[in-house]
Amino acid sequence: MRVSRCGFAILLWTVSVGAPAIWPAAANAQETSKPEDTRASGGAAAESKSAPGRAPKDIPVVNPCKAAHPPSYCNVRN
Amino acid sequence: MSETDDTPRTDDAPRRSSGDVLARLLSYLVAVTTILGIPIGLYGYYASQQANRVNRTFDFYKDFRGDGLQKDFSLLVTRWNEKSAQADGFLKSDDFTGLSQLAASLLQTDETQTALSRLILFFDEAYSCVDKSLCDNNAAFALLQNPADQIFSMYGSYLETVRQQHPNYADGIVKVRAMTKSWSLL
Repeated sequence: MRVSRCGFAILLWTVSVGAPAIWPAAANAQETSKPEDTRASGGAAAESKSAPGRAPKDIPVVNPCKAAHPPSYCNVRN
Repeated sequence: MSETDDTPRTDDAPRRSSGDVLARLLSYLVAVTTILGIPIGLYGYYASQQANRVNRTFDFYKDFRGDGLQKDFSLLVTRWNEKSAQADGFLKSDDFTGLSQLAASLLQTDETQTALSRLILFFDEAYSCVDKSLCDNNAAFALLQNPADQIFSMYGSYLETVRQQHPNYADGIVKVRAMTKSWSLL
C-alpha cells in the first residue's frame, strides 16, 4: 500500500515536472524545422529583393504623407 | 503474552516513521511541482498559441513577398515613381486636388486597377486574420504595416474618394496602416 502511494507520488511528480518541460521543447522542435521551409520557399524572393535594381521599385520616391504639408487623407486612421 | 505483543511494535516503529517522512516529503514535492507546473504549463500553452499566430502572420508576409503580390506592389510603386516629379510639384504647391487627379490617372489602366484590387483583397484578409486573433498583431505591424502605409501614401486620395461611397473599401489597408504595437499573450 505504501509502495503504491510512493509510486503514485513519483509518477505524478514526473508527469507534472516532465509535461511542461517536454511540451515547449516539442513545440520548439516543430518551429525550428520551419525556417528551413521558409528559406526554401522564400529565399529566392529575399535574394532577388536585395538584387540591384529591385529595391528602388519597392520604395516610393515621393511620399505625400511625409511631406511638410501632408494631404488630409494621410490622417485617416480608421 | 503482553511481551510478545510489544516486541513487534518496537521493531516496526522506526520503519514506519521513515516511510512517513518519505511519503510526506514526496507529497510536499508533488504540491510544489503542481503549484509551479500549472503556471509553467499554462505559459507553455499560450506561448505555443502565440507562436502559431506569428507563423500564420508570417505566411501572409510570404504571400505578400511572393511573385504575384510583389509584382503588383512593384507596379504601383513604379508607376508612382514615374510621376514623382509631378507629385512633388503638387505637394510643394499644396495642390492636393492635382495630387488626387494624378493618383486617379495612374489607376486608369486595367493593369494598375487589378494590381490595386489584389493588394486591397490581400490586406483585407490579413487584417481580418489579426482582428479575429488568428494572426499576431505585433508581427503584422512589423511585417505589413510599412507596405500598407506606402500604398496608402501613394494612392490614399483615390482610396478615400471611393471610401466616401463605399466605407468598407480598402478597410484592410487603412486598418493595417493604423496598427500599433501591443502587449498580447492571450
